[in-house]
Amino acid sequence: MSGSQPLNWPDVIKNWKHGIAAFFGQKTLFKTRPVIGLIHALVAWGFALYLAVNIIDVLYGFIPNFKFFPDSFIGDVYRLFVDIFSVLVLLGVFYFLVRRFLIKDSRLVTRDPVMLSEKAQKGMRFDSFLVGSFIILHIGSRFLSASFEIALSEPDQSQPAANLVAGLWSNMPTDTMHVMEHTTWWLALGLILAFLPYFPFSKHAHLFMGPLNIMAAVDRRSMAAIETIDFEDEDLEQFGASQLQHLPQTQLLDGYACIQCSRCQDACPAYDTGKELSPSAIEINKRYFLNENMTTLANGDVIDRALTEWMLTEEAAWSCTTCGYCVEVCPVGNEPMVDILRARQDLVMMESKFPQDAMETFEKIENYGNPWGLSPQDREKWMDGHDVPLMREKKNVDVLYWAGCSGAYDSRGREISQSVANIMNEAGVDYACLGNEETCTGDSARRIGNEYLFQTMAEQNKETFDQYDFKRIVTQCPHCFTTLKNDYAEMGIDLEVVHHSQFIDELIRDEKITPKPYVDEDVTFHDPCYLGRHNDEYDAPRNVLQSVLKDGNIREMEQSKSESFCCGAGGGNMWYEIKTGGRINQSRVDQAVETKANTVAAACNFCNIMLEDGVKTTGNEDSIKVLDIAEMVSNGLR
Amino acid sequence: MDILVVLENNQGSLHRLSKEAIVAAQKLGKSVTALVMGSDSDKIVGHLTGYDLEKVITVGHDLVSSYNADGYSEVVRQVTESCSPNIIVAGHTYQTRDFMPRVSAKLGVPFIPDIVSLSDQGFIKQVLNAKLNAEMSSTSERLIISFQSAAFSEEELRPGSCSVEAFEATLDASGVRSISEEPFQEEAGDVDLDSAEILVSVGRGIEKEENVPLAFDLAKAMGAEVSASRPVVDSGWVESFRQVGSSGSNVAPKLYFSLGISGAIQHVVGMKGAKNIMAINKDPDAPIFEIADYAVIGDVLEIVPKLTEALDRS
Amino acid sequence: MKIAVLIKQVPGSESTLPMNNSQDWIDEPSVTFVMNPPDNFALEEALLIREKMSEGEVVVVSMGPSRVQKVIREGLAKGADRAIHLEEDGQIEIDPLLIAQRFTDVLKEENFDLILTGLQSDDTGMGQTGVLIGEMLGLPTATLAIETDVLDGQIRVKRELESGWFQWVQLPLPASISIQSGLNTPRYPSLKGIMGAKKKEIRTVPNSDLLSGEQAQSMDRIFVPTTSKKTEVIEGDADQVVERIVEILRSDIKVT
Repeated sequence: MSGSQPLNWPDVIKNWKHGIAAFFGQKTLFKTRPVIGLIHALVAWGFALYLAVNIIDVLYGFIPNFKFFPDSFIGDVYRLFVDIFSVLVLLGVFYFLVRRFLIKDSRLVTRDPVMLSEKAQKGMRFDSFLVGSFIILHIGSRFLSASFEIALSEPDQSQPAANLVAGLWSNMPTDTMHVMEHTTWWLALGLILAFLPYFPFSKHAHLFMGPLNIMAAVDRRSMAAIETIDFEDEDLEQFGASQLQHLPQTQLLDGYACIQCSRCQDACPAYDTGKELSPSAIEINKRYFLNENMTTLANGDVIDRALTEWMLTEEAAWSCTTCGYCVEVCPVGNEPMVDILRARQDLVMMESKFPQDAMETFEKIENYGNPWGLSPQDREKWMDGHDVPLMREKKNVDVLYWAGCSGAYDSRGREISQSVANIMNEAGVDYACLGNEETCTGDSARRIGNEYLFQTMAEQNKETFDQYDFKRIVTQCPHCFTTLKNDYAEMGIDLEVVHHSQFIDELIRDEKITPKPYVDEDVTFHDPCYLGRHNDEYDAPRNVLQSVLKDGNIREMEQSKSESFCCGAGGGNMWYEIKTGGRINQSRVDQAVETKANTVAAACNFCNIMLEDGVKTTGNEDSIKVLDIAEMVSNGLR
Repeated sequence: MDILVVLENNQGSLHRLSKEAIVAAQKLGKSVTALVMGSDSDKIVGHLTGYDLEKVITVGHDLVSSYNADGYSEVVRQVTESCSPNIIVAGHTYQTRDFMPRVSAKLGVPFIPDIVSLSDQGFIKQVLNAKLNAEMSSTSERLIISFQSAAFSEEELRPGSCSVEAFEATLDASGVRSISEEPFQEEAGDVDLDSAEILVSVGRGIEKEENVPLAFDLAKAMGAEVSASRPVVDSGWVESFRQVGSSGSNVAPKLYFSLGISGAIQHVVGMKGAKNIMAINKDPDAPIFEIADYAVIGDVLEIVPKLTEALDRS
Repeated sequence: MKIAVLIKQVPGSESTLPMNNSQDWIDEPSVTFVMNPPDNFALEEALLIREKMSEGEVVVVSMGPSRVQKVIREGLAKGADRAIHLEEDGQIEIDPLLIAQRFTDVLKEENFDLILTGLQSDDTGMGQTGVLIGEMLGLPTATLAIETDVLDGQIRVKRELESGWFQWVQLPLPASISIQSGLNTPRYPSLKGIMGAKKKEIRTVPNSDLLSGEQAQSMDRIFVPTTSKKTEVIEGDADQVVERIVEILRSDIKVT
């Protein structure tokens, strides 16, 4: 098999329980589109059943007078299940075909200007049609065969549907019925044989590939914390991925596991606002490319074609905000975002092809230690007039409070940093801040693909951490939070890190502070991607928010918690702009306004900036305001 | 103190900075000699005879009929050796920057450029992107100084009279190594925010798209270019190339005049290098006022039309 | 084709600039240093010329204390072939003639075809080094180049003149040209460039080997300009406000 980082098959097989659970549990289907998910679950269970059915049928065929537990309860139950599920599967698949070909559900289509290969577009329709037809014919045939068998012998109460259909044949001559019974029966089995060679190339392969992909899943600390690169390795010539063979095998497997359901596309903020990116197209293009070039690849040759020519355009790669929605909702465990991150690494480090604004951001981080490009000597300005202890004075504390770059330089960010410090002071926490000794965590650099710069920043921060003693870090910002917690761990820098929402939640639970509820208006909460999806934290900020609500309620947006819609600043998009399509932050503000809440609460500097900008540009200054939960708590303490 | 002022012939008329240099020279010393080169210097010479100068030296040599670094620097060297001035003075123009260092190296005389004012002990120059000023001095007996635009005002030119003298420069064709083509003006293409001296920048305080022309009118009256903050561009009220900020242009004009911009950090990082910042905003707490030189607290929609009118009148 | 690019390390435009004790320069340990941005454009131009000619050597030349190795490495990472570091320790030297003489002494044996410099440095901004060196080496010079065109043994340079005028000037090589900012887009070093830079040659010319000479020019003190950053607040009725603004525009800022 092609691709780098070959799968460790023993490890993959060890995870067989995950595969079985995925197949039979169907849990991953219900993250989004629950109704479709249910129909699919029924089809899937029907299929599982049919595995047994097909084996038993073969026995029927070759062993004369074989019947499966003919007059026993077990046999009846078996036949009942087969009967019911035959109908359910037929109806389900019939509905799926109607949905795709007659209703033409737009969610199954990828619109312009996303790059989706011609072959894929035509092939997908053909594939769906073929697979759907196969299923209907296979199950339909067998169902009919059962009905003929009943018509030839006697009514069977344990096969109610087949029984009903058998009534249709009451006027058919016996000979004809025999012929029909055998024909349909052999047709059902024969179709499998006919379908088998096509099977690996069709989306139907997801039957095995899906669970296999889940078994082969890389155990990441968080979605975007991909493996680090060893720059000392002299043999390493390629950083990131520019061609198919640079992608790890798990990523190639993704292409085969993909069922082209396009759930990932549903709330991808880039796709939703009309950009060139669709995570779905990435996987589909990949699979079709593999199919097309199967022989070459099997021979051990490589295809010399850039990913940006067939998998996703350069602009598509830059449009990603690394929000992780695609990874979260994929039923088969695909990670389109990881492909994008690897493509970016190549574009940045190997080809030097990336937005000019991103380059300026790198230079600012390199020269000044923050992406704003402001003086490193000004990092303590936010502490003016506030009682904030410094690490270089205290040296040994429980909590290192990490303000981060936005928390130190942005005027709103500073207010939030002050609010958190205020809360810590009230709660009597033993903490200190690094002040001017802080430097950028390197989050933006890593997400944009400049792994080298990220490691440089990480190493600088490690040196600083080594000088002091602290039990854990509390960050002001979710980006710092996930980077220090998860990405630094990839480099062997192990830290215990929590986000300010989690810390404040803890303080409230331990009764170190008791905010007095005072908010009488309704509030909605915008889950920051890097706190929510990337780190599975949805409750802490809501608990914190709840603690200050008096008569007001939390009104959830439709896209919330694990389905939250990104503010648009992640993945480096804070620093450069993709001009195609609409503004992601405006979409999100519209969603917030729809809840009729008076405030949208955030827990991240970037979200704050994006939402405030969005409120202005959508003309909603009088309808909704943006506040950070730390501010809301701090205001409640006075 | 003998001063030699090297003047710049700006297509037949005297460059404004040269006039200011004469003022500087008149302040620095008693005996000021002016040097002018190039074809069609007659009109310039005509004006100069009305100023309080010792004399005007003209050089009509073919090889310096139009500007070239080799010729000009050699002529100045020869005139200096002939007149022995203590200080050679010029306006700090592109032309001065091009050839005066050549004179400095030829004569071994220090060149202190871009001076903004004189002090008792020396010459004041801006350093570190004009964040600080430095006092420069020299132990050399002879000096070359150039003055920044508006360091002195031509209004202070002392009138008087002077004689005119032709100078025979010795130049060899082989000594002029450059071949210059005719100067030309570029076609006005897209707006270049970077090179605009004044930017009138529109923010959300303009309230509605219909009000945006107010900013354009003001810009026209000021000879300025129009830029904008991101929300205004995002709303589609002005073209995207006018955007200033962390994901737009980075500008450092002489004057950044913001109308209704709050001053959020992603905008400020794109314009804080402006030499002068004047901001109009209704909100006295707007962050833009932290970096503004002139904080106008008021309603953009009320002030701007009146301002445009006042400027148009004069 | 041998091209020398003179690169200076200067305080960054966003760096804080605290004054030193003797008040004659800034306190360097607190300062953030960067490559002089105009020199970055000059370096990019040199790299583009080398690419266009499909041959040539680009040499970064820098004068300063050991900290300038950072910008030297940056230049090498972006694609320069080797570097020369003139060790100059301690207080910044403020005599352009002396600086140019020291550079000339080191550069003259190399017989460069082209010497490129940024228009001026962001710290002192004397803007002469390239032209002085040109004269000292007997080379023709041109400044404010916003476009270059290297031909056989010649270089054509589009000079920026004031008020939107331009002029093409042709000079024989070797020549010394100062580059105006904005004429190209300086590249970001690729990772291969960064790694390769570690192995490229930096010839250090120790301070003792530099040409000695008398400093004739000095910077005696620095101070904060009195007219800076005091915000004047203008309030009142619209007519009054407008009157004050017009006055400021006319007399203080001098733009109308």
